[in-house]
Amino acid sequence: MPTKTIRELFDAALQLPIDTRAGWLAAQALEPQILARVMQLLAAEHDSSSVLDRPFVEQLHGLAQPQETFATAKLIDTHIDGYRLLSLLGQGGMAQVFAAERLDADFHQQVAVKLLRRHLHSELELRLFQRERQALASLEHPNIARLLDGGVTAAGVPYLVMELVRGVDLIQYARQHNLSLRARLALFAQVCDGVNAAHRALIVHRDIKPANILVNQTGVVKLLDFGVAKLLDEQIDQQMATFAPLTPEYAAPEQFDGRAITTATDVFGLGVVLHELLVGVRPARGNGLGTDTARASDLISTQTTLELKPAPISAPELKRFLRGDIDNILRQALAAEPNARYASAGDLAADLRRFLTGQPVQAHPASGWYRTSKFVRRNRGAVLTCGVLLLGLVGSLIYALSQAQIARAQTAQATLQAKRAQATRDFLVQLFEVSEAGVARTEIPSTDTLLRDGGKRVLHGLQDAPNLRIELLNVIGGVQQSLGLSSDAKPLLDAALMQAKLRLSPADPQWLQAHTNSAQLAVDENRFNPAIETITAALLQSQDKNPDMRIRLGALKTLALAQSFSDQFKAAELTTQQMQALAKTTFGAASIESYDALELATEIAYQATNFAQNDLLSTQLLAQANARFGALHARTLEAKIARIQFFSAALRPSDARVLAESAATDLAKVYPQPNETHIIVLNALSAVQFQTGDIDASANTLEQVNQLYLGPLKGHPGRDTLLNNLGAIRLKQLRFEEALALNTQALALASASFGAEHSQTAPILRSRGQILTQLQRFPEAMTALLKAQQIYLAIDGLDSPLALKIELPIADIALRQGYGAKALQSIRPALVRLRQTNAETHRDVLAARLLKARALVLTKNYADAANNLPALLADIRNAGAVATYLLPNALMAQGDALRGIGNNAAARTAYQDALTLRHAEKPVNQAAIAELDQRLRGLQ
Amino acid sequence: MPNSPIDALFSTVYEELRSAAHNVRKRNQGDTLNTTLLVHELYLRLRKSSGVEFANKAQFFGYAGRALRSIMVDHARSRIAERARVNDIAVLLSSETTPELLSPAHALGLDTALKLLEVDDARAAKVVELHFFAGLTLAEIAEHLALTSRTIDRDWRYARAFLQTALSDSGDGVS
Repeated sequence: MPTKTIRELFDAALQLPIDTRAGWLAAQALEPQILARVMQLLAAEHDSSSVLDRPFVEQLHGLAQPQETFATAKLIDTHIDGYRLLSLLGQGGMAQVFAAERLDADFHQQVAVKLLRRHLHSELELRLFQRERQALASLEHPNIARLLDGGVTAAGVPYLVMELVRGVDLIQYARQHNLSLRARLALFAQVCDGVNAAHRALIVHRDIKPANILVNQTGVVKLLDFGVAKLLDEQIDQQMATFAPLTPEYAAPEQFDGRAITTATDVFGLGVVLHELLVGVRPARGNGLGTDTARASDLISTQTTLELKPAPISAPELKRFLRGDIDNILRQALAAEPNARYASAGDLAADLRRFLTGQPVQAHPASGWYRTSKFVRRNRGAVLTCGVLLLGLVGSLIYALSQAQIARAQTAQATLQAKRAQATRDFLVQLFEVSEAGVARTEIPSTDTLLRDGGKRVLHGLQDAPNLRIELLNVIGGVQQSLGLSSDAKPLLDAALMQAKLRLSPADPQWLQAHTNSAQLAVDENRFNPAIETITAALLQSQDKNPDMRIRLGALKTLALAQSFSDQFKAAELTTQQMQALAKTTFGAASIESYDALELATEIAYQATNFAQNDLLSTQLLAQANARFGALHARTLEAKIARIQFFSAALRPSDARVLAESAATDLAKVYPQPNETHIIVLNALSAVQFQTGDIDASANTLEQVNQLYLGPLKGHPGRDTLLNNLGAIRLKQLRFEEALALNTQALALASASFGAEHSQTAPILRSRGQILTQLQRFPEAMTALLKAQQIYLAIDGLDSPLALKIELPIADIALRQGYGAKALQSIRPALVRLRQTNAETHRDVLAARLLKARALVLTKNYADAANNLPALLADIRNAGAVATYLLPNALMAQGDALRGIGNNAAARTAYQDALTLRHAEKPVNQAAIAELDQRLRGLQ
Repeated sequence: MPNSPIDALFSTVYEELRSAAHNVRKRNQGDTLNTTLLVHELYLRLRKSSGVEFANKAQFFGYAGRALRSIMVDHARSRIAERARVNDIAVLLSSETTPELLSPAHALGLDTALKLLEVDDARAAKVVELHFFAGLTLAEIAEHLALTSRTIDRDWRYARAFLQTALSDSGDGVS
């Protein structure tokens, strides 16, 4: 009998009853070690508990996440990278701070080392931390404690090394030195300067409080922990709003409810500190957590205790000092609404300095609408014109109300209807009344202002008619939203949604409307996935119960937009088909609803680059528009724009241009007064001019649009985008410095109106990165790109497609600096993810493939590159005009790859092809041509 | 060869699983993960995307098991490195891993034991990767490998016993 292996013995023994196994094995006459081993295996087999009994992934959590905490006492005298920890300076829930010294330094310069109580596990978390740290390290200002170093220990414990500031906090310092009120203001202005410097670098502190504002022995203010609050924010990859750690006494209202953090958030914190510095106590917080109504001077009475009195002056003196300007400055800094505050710390500092030098301050005793209303009293005639603007609003109201009426046309509700109508009328009358009392300003109050006033009225009033209030919030918020006034619309729509959830059933049209608006808001902020979730859930819940098909159509429209913006085109096309069917069965094929659905379907087909469908739909749309509205009509103009878009996409630029030029001619006849459509048509014209290669004409058209913004359409939303586009064109024209200047303007505009970390600033930061790359200012370019990427990640979560696309210019920078491996590292995963949602000939996929090929060349993987490039070149040629710009670079890469594998003849052909293309470009890219010439010479 | 197509596929699977495991862990803190869902979902997703092609489903699951095994080793290494380092700089107050859960030392021990098993009985080692790591049931494994479930069942019992003895020889003292 052949000898059995251990495995065979084991298998055989397992077949036997447990108590007979030993006997059977003994009978096999085995070597003692073999017998022992089989017995051991059998015992282990019988053992009931094993880590192998639970799937690995279930145990991964425990393996990856240590529960360790640091024992402070034992950390003293230990080393962290190059630093020895000396003594504990302070600790909180989020971090411990130690005084430390550098081990290798010649002199013992002391620093502060902050160990964050947060572990970073994944590559991405680590990268985000490092990127943020990089941004912070670039912050250099005499009033800001510098971030010197930092990193992550092998354990994933992040730490920061900062300038060690020996000093006391601002409030204590003022008290200890018995500073006068003016001296306090001067000191505080330094604080604002520091904060402002950071704001200009688009860094928000998020946790302004006295403990973070130290004054050193020489009386210089040093701000600590800039941006650290953000580093502690673990929620960065969640789609929900983030709730970073905060100090409740100094936090702004928006920090409590997770709204956007902007520079105005820091202004609020500064306001609280200033209040404490001057008055001795922090301001009382109202229900909205703001302090809009309080006046600092009212806190001071003649009975004020010594303890409260901060400065060496009498209580009446203090009261006099505060009353008026300082009251107003504090009130503006401490407004509950971020928009009502100083836009930046710099503005606050400027007002304080104006006060100190006896100039009038900018802070006003009342809010914006009060001023507007004052204006209206003086300009009755002009206000009548505004009535026309209001008609649009009234129209929407009536429409909304009539819908509700149809829905609830029952006798029992007749009284309610009457009450609603009355309340609506009262509301409108109030709106006019507000506009009848006011001060001077030289402009007619815009629709924006009137809507804002109306919104405020509804938000704070109409408590006795809650359902009407929801409707009006929906209507006004919705109108603001469609005008691009998202920040005005947000509080209204948030309130509407909350109230709708509380008071209405999913069968109520306004319930669905509130959800739709809220989703639309998310879409406006590029948060597509949350928008899709909201809408899908709302549509399901209101399924068949909601009698109002127009609102249902609106919901579907928002859904389709969100789907298409997040590149889910198939889903979006299905949604529009659903809309077209619903509109047709409910309202008929000739209804305006059907036309609207067709219009959207056309747009989505365009976005989806579904050429056949787009051709069909845009032809239908233009024909229907001409028949229905006539040639000179706004909607016909829009249908023309849709057709122009098709022509551009289908690479029929000359057809597109003919139609665009005709649209531009119609424009003046359809709208003698410049309005938003002028912007749209001219933007479209500029786009086709760009496409037909007429970059100069395109730039001129955009310049024309800019003139509209500077003149008749002043204050109209979208100028930041325009300037950004113009910057991008200058980039194409290789006029880099001009591009940068335009981009800087766009960035300033967007930051001022949306905040530094808003989705609107991200594309501008993205082009900024590309412009700076061309100017070879790589570190700055990197900073801008990373910032843009962070914004997208924070807004749309880790799967953000927009964040992903930024990997491309990032890799480009790595390539230009010669870091091939690094570029490869970032481009490979990016390419995998891009391919999940895009076709092989998608522009971004092509660009990523080219970057990968270039990286392969740079890392000397010539054969790989040479293998990839022919397919890539073919795909680029097939993709048409959207990708032709990639061709010269791709040919050059091919030349490099071929040269690398020793095929010089083919390399020469590739270089020469690239050169021919480069010479045909307008403007001619001399640098690129020089590079190609050099390579060709190198081949000889 | 880092650029051979096989390795590119493998690194894709690895990257995807790593981030998927991480994401799921972040989203449902405290909840345990459903391996089967995680792995099957990834398979569907990768198959949909045009860039990734697998010869067959079995190939994919093979990669997934292997990838999760590397993930285990990565995590364990970094935890152990962290300890070695932390012994220098600080003391870990508590490290509560229940004995029947994987500790870092266990994890590395397991990886070593698997290498031994690969030599001793390659198919049994494969079954561990597919069952323990990739989360396939024994029946599914039998189907993918075109073997009877009786065979796979035996493989698993042998592998489990083999690894268990290796783990109790070396593991516990360190954790």
